[in-house]
Amino acid sequence: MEDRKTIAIKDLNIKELLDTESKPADISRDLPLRKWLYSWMLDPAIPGNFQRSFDKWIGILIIANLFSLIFENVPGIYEPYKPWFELFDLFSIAVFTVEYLLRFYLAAEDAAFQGKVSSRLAYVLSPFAIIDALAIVPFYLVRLFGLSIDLHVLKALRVLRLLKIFRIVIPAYHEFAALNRGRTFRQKVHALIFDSQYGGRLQEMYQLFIAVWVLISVLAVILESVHGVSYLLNVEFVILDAVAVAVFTIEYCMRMYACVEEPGYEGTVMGRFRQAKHPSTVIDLLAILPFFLEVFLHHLLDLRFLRVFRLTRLLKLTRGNDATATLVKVVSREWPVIAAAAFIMILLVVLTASLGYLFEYEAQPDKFENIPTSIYWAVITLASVGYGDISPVTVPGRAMTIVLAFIGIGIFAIPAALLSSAFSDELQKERDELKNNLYKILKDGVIDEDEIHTIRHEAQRMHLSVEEINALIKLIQHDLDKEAELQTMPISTIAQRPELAVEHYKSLLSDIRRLALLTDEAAFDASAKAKDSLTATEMALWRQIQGKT
Amino acid sequence: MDASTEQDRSLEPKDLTIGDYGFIAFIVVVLIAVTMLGVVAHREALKTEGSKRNGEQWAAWFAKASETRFAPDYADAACAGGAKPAAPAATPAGDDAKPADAPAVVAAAAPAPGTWGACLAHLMSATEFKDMVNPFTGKAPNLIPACNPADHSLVGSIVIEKSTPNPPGSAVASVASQLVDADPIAEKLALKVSVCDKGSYAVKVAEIEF
Repeated sequence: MEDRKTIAIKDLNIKELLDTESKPADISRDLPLRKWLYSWMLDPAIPGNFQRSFDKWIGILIIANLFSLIFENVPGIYEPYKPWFELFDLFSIAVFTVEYLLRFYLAAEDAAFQGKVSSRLAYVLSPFAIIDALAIVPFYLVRLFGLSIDLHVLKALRVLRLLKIFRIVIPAYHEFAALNRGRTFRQKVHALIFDSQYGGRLQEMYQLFIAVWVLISVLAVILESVHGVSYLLNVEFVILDAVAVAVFTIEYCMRMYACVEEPGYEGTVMGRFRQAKHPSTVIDLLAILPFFLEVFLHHLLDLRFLRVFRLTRLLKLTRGNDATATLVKVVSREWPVIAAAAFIMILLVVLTASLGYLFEYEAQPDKFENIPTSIYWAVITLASVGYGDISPVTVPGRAMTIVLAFIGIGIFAIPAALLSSAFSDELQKERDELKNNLYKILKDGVIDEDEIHTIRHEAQRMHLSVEEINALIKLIQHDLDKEAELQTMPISTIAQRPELAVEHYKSLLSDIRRLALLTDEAAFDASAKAKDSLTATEMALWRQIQGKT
Repeated sequence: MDASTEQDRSLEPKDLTIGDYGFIAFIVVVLIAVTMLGVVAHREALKTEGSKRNGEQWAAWFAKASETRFAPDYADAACAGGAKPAAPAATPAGDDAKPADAPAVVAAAAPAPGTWGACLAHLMSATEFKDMVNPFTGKAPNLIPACNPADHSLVGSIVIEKSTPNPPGSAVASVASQLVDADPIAEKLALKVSVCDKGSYAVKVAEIEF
């Protein structure tokens, strides 16, 4: 059996447990400079060093280079800002050169090149190093050695910089492959698309990739409405939309294919049908549908209005967001009350609009022309917006507006108050749930890796601070200590100390309630009556403790 | 069975099933289909770009002409500024002589000199505008009063409007209306050039002075 690593509660450091990213690496200062530098900058095996941050920033610079390359092909953007583009190019080359030299210098410390005749030569000939070199060499050939290279060839060579991204993606892919060894193709697709323990860093990168595309495409939709921008970048926006649709369509297909691996969505047809009905999948469909409809039906119908639906892509970012899930849960739970408040609001609006029309029509036939126009006035007044474009002039009309304004404050505040209170309840409920989970985890006195993962996940989900978790643990620890103390103490000793007696009594009551929750109520009653095991008084007490009388 | 052997077997790579192959083929088809649709959309966008270049050509000519057309030796005399429009030249309907006192029956009135009509006729016959092509139709682009999304025959057409200032204090500073043949061009004109895109929506190209 696998030997699982455990931590005793007394040794538990919540700050360290939750703050894994910012925990500094334990690297000795006495190491030789090269080894020390490698350990801090490039060693992927040392948690807490700068390796991940280094990769992340290089990745961001690569993406920025991609955008720079795209915009350089748009004369309207490139020409006015040419010096800035050149400056950015110089900066990128400087960073990539430093990165190359650093890796070259530290190659001797890299396990991948150790044991070779020359570790640095082995590094230079490695595929990643060749890609790195291709990203910078053309620049030096042109600038330093005056080599004449065709502008198009130079631009094509600059595209090679983008290949540097594989330095980040390939290790993540290897990790993903290791995590999914022995799993089916569909399970691997599932691991990539859905949150699971098999996703690893590749899944994080995939999520980031989708999120970046969502943001880019939404930004494009917004900028398309700016004439100056859309005039210059019309073709680029079309290409961008087509690529975004391709990305989101593939994602949609992969989600529909792999969803049957997700708990609750089993079944080739019904599982996929359930997935297709899920609000987040409907959003995914809405994100791509306008493109297809516009391409296929633009000759028959004017479907330009559908373009605005591309903004629904932003909703894709809410997938897996617990805050959105809480909001949906709260609204669904409070829906009957919200619906009742909405009904009263509608009733009030129609009533006041009708009275407004009755009082004001004679005086202002152009403004209170009919009841629908008066409804606009009633809503604006009730909601305390008060544009002032329509206002009563007659005495009864003004008197009614005063009453309406007072009522409006209360009526419109009801749904807001309801939602706020329901949110508070939901959060409290979730905290109680977390407390129960922690109680179960801590009860045996030790915490294993799965339990650490649960604590970390729950703390992240509930946005709990280290202090809050510590306070909870302290409280539970106190309860556990009390319970343990009471269990080991003879009843006569407990009886002599009133405070312990009270605690013991509470503990007994708690045990009885737990028993009542766990046992089959009907079977318990039948057994108690059949054998006359419990008297009527005992039965009444049993019920009273459960709070049933 | 030995537990470690069972575990090793569970870690062996799994072969792709028919369903997996079907899915991969489907994804490839989807990718090809989306790429083709993207190419179609791109081609349409390039046609709109071509229409915009046509509009820009008009705008550039107007801008250039506005600097020189009031000079006495302006090359395109039909578009020169300063001269008031003359009476339109009438062409008799037939060669048969009419009584001297009978009104002239005009079959096709030639645009009067000093008007936009005369200038346009000159531009369309003697300048680079005669070779202009509408990328959507492959024919010469039409000059139309306004784009209309309901009428797809207008794609790639050009709209030239004149802007007339409203009296001071008006809610709207100026009103745009079609530049018609009879409009005099003796004075400076504020113009707006637009083109109709692939959905027959107007795309403003430039606002210039002529």
